[in-house]
Amino acid sequence: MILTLFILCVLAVLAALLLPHARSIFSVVSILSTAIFAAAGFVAVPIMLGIAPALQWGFWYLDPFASTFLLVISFLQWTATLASVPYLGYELHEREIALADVRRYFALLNAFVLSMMFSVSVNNLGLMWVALEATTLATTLLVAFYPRKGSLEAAWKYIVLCSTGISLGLIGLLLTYNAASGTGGSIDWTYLLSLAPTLSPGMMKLAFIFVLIGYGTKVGLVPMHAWLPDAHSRAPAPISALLSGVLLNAALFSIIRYKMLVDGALHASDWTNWLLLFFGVLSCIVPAAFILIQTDYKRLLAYSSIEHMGITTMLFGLGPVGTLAAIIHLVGHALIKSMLFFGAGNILLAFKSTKFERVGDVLRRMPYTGGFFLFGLLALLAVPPSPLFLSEVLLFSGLVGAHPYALTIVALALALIGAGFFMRIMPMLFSPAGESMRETREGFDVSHAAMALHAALVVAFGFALWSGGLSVISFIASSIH
Amino acid sequence: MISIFTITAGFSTLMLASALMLITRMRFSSFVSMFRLLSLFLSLFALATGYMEGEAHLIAVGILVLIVKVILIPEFLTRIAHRTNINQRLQSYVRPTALFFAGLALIGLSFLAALRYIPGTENQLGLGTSLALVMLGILLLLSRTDMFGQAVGFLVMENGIFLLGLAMTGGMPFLVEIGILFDLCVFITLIILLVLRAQAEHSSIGTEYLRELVD
Repeated sequence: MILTLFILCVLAVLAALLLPHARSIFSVVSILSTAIFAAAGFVAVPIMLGIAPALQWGFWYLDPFASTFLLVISFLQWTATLASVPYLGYELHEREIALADVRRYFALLNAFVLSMMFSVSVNNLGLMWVALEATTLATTLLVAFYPRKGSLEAAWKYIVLCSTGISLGLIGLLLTYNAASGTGGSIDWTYLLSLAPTLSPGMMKLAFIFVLIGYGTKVGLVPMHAWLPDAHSRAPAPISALLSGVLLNAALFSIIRYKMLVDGALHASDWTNWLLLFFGVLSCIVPAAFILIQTDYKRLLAYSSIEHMGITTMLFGLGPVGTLAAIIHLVGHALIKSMLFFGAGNILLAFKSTKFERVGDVLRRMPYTGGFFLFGLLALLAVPPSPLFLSEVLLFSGLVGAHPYALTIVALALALIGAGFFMRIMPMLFSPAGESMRETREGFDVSHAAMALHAALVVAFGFALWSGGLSVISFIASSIH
Repeated sequence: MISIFTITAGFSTLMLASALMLITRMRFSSFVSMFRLLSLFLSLFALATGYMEGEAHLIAVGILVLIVKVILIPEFLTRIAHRTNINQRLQSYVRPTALFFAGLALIGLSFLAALRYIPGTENQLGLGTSLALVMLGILLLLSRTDMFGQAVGFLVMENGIFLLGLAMTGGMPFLVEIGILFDLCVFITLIILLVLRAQAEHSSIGTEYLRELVD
């Protein structure tokens, strides 16, 4: 069944490359991506609910934790593909891109999705590394998609920094392999986990430092985040949504896999928790400063992704309750941030600029996009019933006893970020704009449907957490220990 | 009979010497030839180790490295450079002599680190060499201000990591090695595409044109 997923992705790549017209590419790729979502749901949901046991077959291993990632990836690729259709359709119509660009876009998009799904469902840590590097390679040309100023620079930074970072992660893998050698030579994660208590603690600590720095570059943890705002702001909006919503998560997923091995070797989780908290706190304060002075709304959203990955990383460093909250935060942030990027894409198409000063009066001129954008903004700032409300409450309650100084810093950073969001985005939504705006009234299209679906899921998820949904999340969290 | 240690010592010396030469080259053609030489020593080392330890998969990996890193990648880079009239003169923040001494210092530090901080391996010579190659690769990445210099810096680092795999674990599983080499081929293809685009946009592969996106 997992193989079906990969075959569907390959079919979508082929469809994008071979079909004769943009229209037929749009429809076939949309159908295939719906099928990918359905198939992933069929595999992942029973495992997440505990109806089916964790799947371990051949190269693959899906526990409830990995299944959650698989489901989120497949859902976001579905809505991102749907949102891409009007986005690229509009640019085709405006002759900003040609048919060859549409082919390239969907082929790379599906290669990207394939490598991400591969990286969370593969058991072999070496192949997981190969897949994560493949995600960088698949998206480089998407970051450089437009022949505009700055996109070459963004792509160059992206490929050089991420590849270098992830190569350091490979050193971590080699150290782990060395710690386990003499015991059969497999680097399957499940096998290593069963050996974890016997692995050399010194070697595993060293390995974790390399893994955290290396894969942390892809997560966007400060100070390895330099590529992230550039890549997110230059890529087409649906791709930014995928980068923010799931690519960063997939890299964090690998770090957590290693954390479990290292905790096993050390017979305690204090050491890894401390490192995660350190990088998490750092990743909250630095974006706060940049959000306050931001002039570009896509970059603002990108900095906010760094902050949220910081919060998630911190939550993973806060023990069992933290892990529970981390999963809520991951899923909630993925849904909300990608929705905001879809909205940002529509605003960019209408105003032809990503600068705040060129955009205004969005709520009146683009009521659907503006409405969902406002909703997403509030949900991102953890206004109830946003699921992020619960996860951030749990973050504060986890920090208050153990790390009061960290709590002070994080609370200050979050307050600044909230202020920055209101200061920058509210004028864009409500104040009168300049002239560079088409006057036709906005129609409801597929991208708004995708945003509506995200919004509905965010609300449903938020309410579900208060009425029984928490037991599902705690079951998922129990597969991380 | 030559011992594994002698082989390692010999090839380590050759690799470090060629890497030191590499970081100080400022002409494109000799820069790439030095990289080719470094990769050649690396693949020969893998082949020799594989032969002496009777590990068939190491020999296979050695041959693949020979094909990819000694023949394909350098050939590809030189052809593109010729076809697009890229300036032969490479750029760097730091003068070649200073780079040479920085490189020497990094090699010393790497061996010190390998001897003191990484416990429990028999092969500290290979370990020190591989760390040194990783450090020299990073030095290239940081000091060079043209796209080719940075890309080759990444490749040198990748060579160091490959050697680390040989020294610490006797090589990764074959499937993983193939995956890594595949990623490397795609990486180089992308780098070439970006270089071509930079040449078309700025008529230069210098990274001074790639410094506009700041907050």
